Amino acid sequence: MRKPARRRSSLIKGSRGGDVSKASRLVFGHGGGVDAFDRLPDDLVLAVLAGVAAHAASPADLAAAAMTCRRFRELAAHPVVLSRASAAAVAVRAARWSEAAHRFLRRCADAGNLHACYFLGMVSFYCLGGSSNRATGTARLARAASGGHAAALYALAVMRFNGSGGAGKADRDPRGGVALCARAAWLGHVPALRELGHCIQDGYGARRDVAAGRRLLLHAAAHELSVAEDDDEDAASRFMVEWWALRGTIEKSSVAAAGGEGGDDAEKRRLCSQARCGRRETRRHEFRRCSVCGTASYCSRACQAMDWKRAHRGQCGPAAARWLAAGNAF
Amino acid sequence: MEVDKGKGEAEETRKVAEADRDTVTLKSSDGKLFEVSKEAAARLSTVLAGMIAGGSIDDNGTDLKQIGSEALENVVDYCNKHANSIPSAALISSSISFNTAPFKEPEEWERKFVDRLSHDALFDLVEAANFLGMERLLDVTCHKISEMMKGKSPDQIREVFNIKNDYTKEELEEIRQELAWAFYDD
Repeated sequence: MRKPARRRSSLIKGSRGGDVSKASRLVFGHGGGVDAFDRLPDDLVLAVLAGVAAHAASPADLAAAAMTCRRFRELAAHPVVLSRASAAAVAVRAARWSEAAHRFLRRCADAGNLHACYFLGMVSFYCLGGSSNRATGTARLARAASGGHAAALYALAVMRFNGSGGAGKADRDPRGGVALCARAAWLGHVPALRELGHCIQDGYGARRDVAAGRRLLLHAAAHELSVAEDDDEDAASRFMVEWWALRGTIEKSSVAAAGGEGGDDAEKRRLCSQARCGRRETRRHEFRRCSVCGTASYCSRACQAMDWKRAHRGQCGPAAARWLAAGNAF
Repeated sequence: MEVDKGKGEAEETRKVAEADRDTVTLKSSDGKLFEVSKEAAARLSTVLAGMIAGGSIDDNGTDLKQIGSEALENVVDYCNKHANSIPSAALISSSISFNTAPFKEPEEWERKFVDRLSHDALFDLVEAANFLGMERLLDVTCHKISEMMKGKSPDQIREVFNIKNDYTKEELEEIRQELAWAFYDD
């Protein structure tokens, strides 16, 4: 799967020129000014490009390689290369979103790249919107989840809890959400662990067990302490945050101009108040509110807890803060 | 009758001794001889394993006409080092990666091994490893080359590897637009 059969290489070597030139070329290497890759068969160049993709720190690394020459461009589009692309290699930025970027992500996802499945799944479901994009988004996330992508499992769990994409509260599926959360938590996904702890503590979608739930929450808190602040940065969330920031300015003007094509609904759908989440309601009143101030809304308890620690504690009002600190000291 | 038997025995012991030898001798295209541990050679190279199993190993040096002495020296060096190294924890339990790749990061000594090679020697070694069916050595050498490409602009990559820019001006412009999304500076 990773590399095509190496047998081909000898065929390619054999097909180039006669025996004499072959021997001298193979033995004495290349002189100055000769393309070093000319000597390598396609499957080895694929292996090199797959290495570039797998260790890329940004999409630019693979793109730069593809731009060097025709042969590289052709080979860089091979599924063997795309399937190995790192999470950073598929982390498209919202400001650079284009049909070409979309195509690239689709190709990566179709090649079986789970990072791309997750990223494109989130973008399709939350940002591109519309029922067909939501359906393909869910399918991409399911593909990533079935391959063991923890963030995708958690994303599906959040959708189940909220009944995202559905018509109303009746579409919420706490049991399904808990099951997905448990799998994501098992794979080391900390927000999923926190969510699971809350569910078990409250008996939401699972049998109530206050002590066990509390234990999970403590585990989650310990994990969060050991992880550096920036380590938990999720490229899909970053994309969504940037996407809505860009749309915010565009939409307001275009909605006003176009008379609001579905605009009034879109206006009232809220973003998750946890600043780094980027999820947006798929229908009105989908997200949970802060029960104290009622102005902040969250896609999940994990986001609520994180935002409480990072920012909301100071914004929710001093009286409320005292009340919450006494009741929810996690 | 007795003489024959003795001769037979002698031959037998010689054969046993041959089979028991724990090294094989390899001969490069320019006639230099290298000794390498039989166990390591068979473990690391599918081609050499086949030759050893098939008995086509020549005591006076198995001819490898496609491989120059410099590259073969590196191959042998790699085999011997590999035979002496204990797989580190990093090699056994690499980080959870859920893609198709079973590739394991190069170990410290493997890194040093490829780092000291010149450009030519590195590409020679890739070819030699490919010829001998040495999966791991291929992974390590290809990994090194891909590291050399990382973080560079197309122009820089062309310069490092002497790659000819075979695009027309129009094509290059088209590709630049097509891939514009990939280039983003914070």
